[in-house]
Amino acid sequence: MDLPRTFGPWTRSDRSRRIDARSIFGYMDGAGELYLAYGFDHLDVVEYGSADQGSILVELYWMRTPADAFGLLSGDWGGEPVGLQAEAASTTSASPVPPHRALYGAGLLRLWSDTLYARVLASRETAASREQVLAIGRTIVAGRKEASYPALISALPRASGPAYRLLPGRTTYLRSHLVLNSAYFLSAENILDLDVTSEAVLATYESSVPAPPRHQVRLLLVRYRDEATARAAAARFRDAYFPETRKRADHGTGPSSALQHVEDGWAGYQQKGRCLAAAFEVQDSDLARTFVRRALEELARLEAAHE
Amino acid sequence: MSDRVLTRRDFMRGTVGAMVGGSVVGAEPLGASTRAPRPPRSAEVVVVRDQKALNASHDVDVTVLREMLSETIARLTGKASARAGWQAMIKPADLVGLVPTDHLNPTHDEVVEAVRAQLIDAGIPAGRIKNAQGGPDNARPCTALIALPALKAHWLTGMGTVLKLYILYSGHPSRYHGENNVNLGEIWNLPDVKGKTRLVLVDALRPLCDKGPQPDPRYLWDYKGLIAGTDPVAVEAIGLKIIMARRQALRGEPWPLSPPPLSLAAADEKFGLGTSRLSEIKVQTYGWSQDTLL
Repeated sequence: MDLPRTFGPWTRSDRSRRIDARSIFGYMDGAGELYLAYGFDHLDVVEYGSADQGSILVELYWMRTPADAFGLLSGDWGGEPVGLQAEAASTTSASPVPPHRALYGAGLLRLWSDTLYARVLASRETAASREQVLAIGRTIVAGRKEASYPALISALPRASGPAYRLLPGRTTYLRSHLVLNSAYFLSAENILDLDVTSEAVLATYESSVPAPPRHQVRLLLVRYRDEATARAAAARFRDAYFPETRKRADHGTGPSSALQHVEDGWAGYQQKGRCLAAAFEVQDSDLARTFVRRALEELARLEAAHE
Repeated sequence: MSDRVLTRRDFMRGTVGAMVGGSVVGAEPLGASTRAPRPPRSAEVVVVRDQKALNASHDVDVTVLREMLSETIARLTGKASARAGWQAMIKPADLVGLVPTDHLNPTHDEVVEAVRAQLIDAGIPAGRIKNAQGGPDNARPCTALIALPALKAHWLTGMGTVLKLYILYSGHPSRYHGENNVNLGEIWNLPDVKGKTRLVLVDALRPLCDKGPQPDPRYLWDYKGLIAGTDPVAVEAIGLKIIMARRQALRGEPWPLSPPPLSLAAADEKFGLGTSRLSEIKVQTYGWSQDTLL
């Protein structure tokens, strides 16, 4: 992408940097794993300098699919939504994720545009730097197509049970246990066998009971590359997280499902085909079953539609 | 801590250390008393803050910083002056390695230079003070190390401050990524490192409470503090407490640190580097008292 040489008083250096999977740790030691946890292709870095107003750093993360770029934005829905171009028609107020494709806060603009995730960061936030950061954002997305959010997102039930509603701003799309753990810690190890060939979405549901604190339930949907992988992952997950159920399962349904009262409430999962749904911190066993069942119904619908 | 797979459930049971468990669940875990038994330890941590340490543009006031550093060293060592304090910790014959965070939300250069200047003032020859961040070859010749990390949360390790500071001394930093970050404390026991750290001084002028190490200015704030001690685990625990309190203040409700800083409890219970138990840490705070978060 050839960005203009100047934005207001900020001028681009002649040299831009191309970072790939091998060199990313030299560029951002300790942070490169985030991008490699999705389908990362390469990163272009451009820096704009000014005489006395600090710098603006532009990072263009080119991902393999729109879903990978979306996943990076979905890690944090905080910030002020900014419209860089018309919002896509597929995102509505009833969407399981916020409709925003660009978020700004304290000098940092983050945006998702098709296979591109970008960060535009002013070293000093001023009215002038904000104006130019947004101008750079508009230039980046100009003429680019707007992809829909990943189909897996649409398998999230909008509500579950009579009293729980989805919190769109807490929905994260991911492929790696590292990203899962940064959103919701489950285990120090990869007990769900997630990798870049899988996709998952973590959602939070809140009780509509008015008295605080409102109870929250976590729902995790995973779609693996094939059924054999899903079955192996379910067995590993059962052994690591629900060891008490192993004996029961050996005489019954096998590792494809478990439901157990654990330290922070009821937790359960079920694997069907190449999909797995798991619920955590649920108040009772019936509700846990309902969360998992409804999620699997939606996943089955998605699979039947070949989405 | 055992080597079996750690899960969220272990944290809820409180078997991984109350401070770490609390960082996962946002409150004291259910069974904090079930931590691994070990002999009691004690540690002292000094926190010095000054409202004028940074200006509105977040630039460091070097004069104020020097005064903060002097107070920190004098208070920590119990000496009448910073010079006497440094002389109690470092000898002129030492080869001193300064070890700052050098990448992504780095330690302020002004902090490193203030330490260097006070060491020289205390009689350490300038030629015997070096920047020792980097591979194990940098630590090997040093007889004294001064850890100078910046306070920040880290998306992979929970915390990216004290215990992670020496990761390059392992010679194999990738071995401590992912789930193996629990073993960061073992680096402090490597032959080139063990016993050399005379001071841990955390740059808490403008910490980062989420999404580190990549800078996200929404999560930076002007704490305007220095945190110091000789027990790296205790200093990390106090840094964690400040980070967690800031997160709760931002959200108005508990905002657990995820993933939890597994290395903190392991540094205490598995590697014996110090104490992560707040009940064993005496914290002294001086200076600006607003939003101390302790």
